Amino acid sequence: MDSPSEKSYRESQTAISGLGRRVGQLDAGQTENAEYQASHPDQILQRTFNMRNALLFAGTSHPDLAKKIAAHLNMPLSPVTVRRYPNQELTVNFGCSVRSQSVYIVQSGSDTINDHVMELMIMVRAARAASASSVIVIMPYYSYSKQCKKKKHRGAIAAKLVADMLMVAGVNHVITLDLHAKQISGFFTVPLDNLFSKPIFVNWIKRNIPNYQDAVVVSKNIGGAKRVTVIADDLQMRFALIFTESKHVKAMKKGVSIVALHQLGDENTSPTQSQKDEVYLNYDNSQNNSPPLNDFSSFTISNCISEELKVEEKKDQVLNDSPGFINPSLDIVDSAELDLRPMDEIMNESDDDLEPSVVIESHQSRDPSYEPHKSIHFSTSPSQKLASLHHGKSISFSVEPSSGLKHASHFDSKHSKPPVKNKEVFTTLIGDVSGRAVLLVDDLIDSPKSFLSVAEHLVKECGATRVYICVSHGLFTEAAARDIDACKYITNIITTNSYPISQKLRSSFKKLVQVDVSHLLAEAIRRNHNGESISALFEKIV
Amino acid sequence: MSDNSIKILAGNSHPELARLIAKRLGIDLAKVAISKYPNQETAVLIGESVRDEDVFIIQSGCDEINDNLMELLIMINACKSASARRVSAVIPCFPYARQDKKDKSRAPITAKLVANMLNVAGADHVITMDLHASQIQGFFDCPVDNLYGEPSVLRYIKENIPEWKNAVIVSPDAGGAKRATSIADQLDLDFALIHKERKKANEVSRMVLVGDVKGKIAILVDDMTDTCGTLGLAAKTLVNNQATDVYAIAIHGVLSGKALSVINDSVLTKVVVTNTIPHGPKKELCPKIDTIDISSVFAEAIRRTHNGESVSYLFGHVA
Repeated sequence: MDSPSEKSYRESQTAISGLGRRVGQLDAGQTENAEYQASHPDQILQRTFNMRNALLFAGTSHPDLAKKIAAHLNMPLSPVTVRRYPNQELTVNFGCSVRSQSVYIVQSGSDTINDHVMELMIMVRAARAASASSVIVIMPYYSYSKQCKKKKHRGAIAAKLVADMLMVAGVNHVITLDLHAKQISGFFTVPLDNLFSKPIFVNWIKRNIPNYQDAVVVSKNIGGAKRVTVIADDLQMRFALIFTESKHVKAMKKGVSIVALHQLGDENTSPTQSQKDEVYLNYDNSQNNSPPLNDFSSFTISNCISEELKVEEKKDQVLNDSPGFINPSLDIVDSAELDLRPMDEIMNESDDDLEPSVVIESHQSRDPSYEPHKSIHFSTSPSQKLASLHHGKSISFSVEPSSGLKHASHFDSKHSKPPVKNKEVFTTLIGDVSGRAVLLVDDLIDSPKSFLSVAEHLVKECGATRVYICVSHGLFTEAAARDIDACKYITNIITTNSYPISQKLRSSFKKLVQVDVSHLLAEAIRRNHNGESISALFEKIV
Repeated sequence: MSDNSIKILAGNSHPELARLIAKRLGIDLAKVAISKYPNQETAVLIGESVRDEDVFIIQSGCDEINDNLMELLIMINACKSASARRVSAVIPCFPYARQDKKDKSRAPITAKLVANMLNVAGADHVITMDLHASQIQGFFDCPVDNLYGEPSVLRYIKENIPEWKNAVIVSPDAGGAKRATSIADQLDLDFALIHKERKKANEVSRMVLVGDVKGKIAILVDDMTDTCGTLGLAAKTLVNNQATDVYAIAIHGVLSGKALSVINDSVLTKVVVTNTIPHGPKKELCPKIDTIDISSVFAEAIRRTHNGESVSYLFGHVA
């Protein structure tokens, strides 16, 4: 959907393309210089006067989209320099005056998301400090939007933090697309416009899926039910839900906890004499998953590196290093702290409010702090207090059976099954898709694992003829693209271009269909600037 | 209780619940006089010292919702300016919780406004139950403990619904599916969903049941029931799909408007709500209403907050 005028931007495109990825990978000591040029004086003349006093800047995360938006608005991207100091700090320099101008900054997410968040903050601040009359941020993919509520145990609401940071930086208005939860707009005290890609998807479906009205819209988790019914209503299609039953969820993610609840419930809440010497260990495990004090500092470091390999090494090393003190919680801590699961798995879990409660329950049921005589351990061990900061991501630990560790013997028998197997067994479809094409709809795809298994389930078990995946934000890696291409159950995957995908990946990714949202964002910018209503964009393509 | 003591103050919205909580905690409610000036302004007089005290103010969002909210804000402010060490607002049913997003163009996010007002009035902590959307916690700048009525609901089902093992948990709309599946999971029951199909905007043309309830007891689960219109229609749909019995359980029973006659005329066997909102007199008019007492959950949350203990135990357990 390239606009013809985009050609003229090719020059600046070469200047900035790929920068987003490179920014994160510079060696210390290097300095990155990237400039956006308003490449042709003509273009400035071309600028239509319905965007008077407006400047459009692009962050480094998604220059392609920014250029498309600029083309739709028929205005150039204004020059801005993003540099990185040797110590990895970023600095931003606007290449033109912004005084008394409305500054529009386009910044999406990327695989170096924190750099881009920081860059955005600095750009907003810089524009503010340079007397811009207003600063409007266009975040097609709202970073950290998955963390928009407190999970039951002490989680941070990072989406709120991003909102606070933006407002402190000095943003006046935010434009975004398909927020994970609409309530995020309430995190801001400045206006936020949440645009919907739905009309664009609907349009694509009508044009490209033959007999779409016979197809079924399916949500792959219960939390997405609402999203699915909206599209189904719009297209007058059927809908169905995938319900991953608790048995699966428990076995997959929370095995230790659940079994702990049933098996250890009697033993550990009121330990018998023979177990008394293990009370500390059990407590250690159940309360905070904390490593012993002497290990804490090194653990924190390994946590930052966050590689599965390191975890393994770490585990071995500690076990070898301190044979006298076998810490039963260590492997749990590692995998729990690092939580290496793909984003969409984590978020699905956060979608399901009540899943974590199960964990809490079992933690608590084994938590000796409810028994006064053992709470001494609690108050005398600083490591536990420190480590309690890290609590709250403990869902994943049960995936690997923790053989060889004392406490683990309780669980092994139940959790030796590979999790994927369990998944297939307990996936239930509510509704009917047999003999029909399926549109699997969600708001974000990160790791395709759950999508692939659901697609397989729909085709193999439920008789679906084809599966299309529709997601607003496609956060693809090369491995994900390969897996999706290799999966014979998936016909196409349709996403918007809200999130950057490298040219190389896009060309090798055969099943990917990207629908363009730049005109939607451009129209929202234009209407916002001219004080026109944006709500017309919600229901139909303008 | 620790060094500095605890004061429980009750607003006018739900004195009965406040009494139950205080009784459970083994303390008396602090003296508060609330009156209205002739011009309808609310006046609050705290009858005893709250200096350096840990103050909890219990006020639900119900009935005269704006008066009650204003009363709460004034009480918080009165305590704050009377040098209370900490003021916690205990709001069993959070007012304006349904206005939590811009679902239509130009719709206000009033829940955010209420959160800001509470913060500005001086609330240091908020304790509430089953927020309509848990994202509302992010509207506040102070900690929010969102308690769950779910454990109490689970217990109610097990104790009061005979043959609950032959039941299906049904969500009356797609948005509440998660709540229903969670309950279904924990009771190891099946789950179904009712979808309101809209041919045109704002016009429910028909209700479609997704799932199977034939020959089973259907238990409708929702977070809030207001006029009960949806519940009545959903119950009808379920019976048409050959459910033997239909129960409805909601955390917050607003039961306003024609709710009582809707319930009385419906095929619902029972409508079960918690006492986050007072409905004593309504119960007399409608014998189908049953109450789950959640005062113990709030009492325990207050006790734990005061003593600096973890509250998360209450998310999965009945106190």
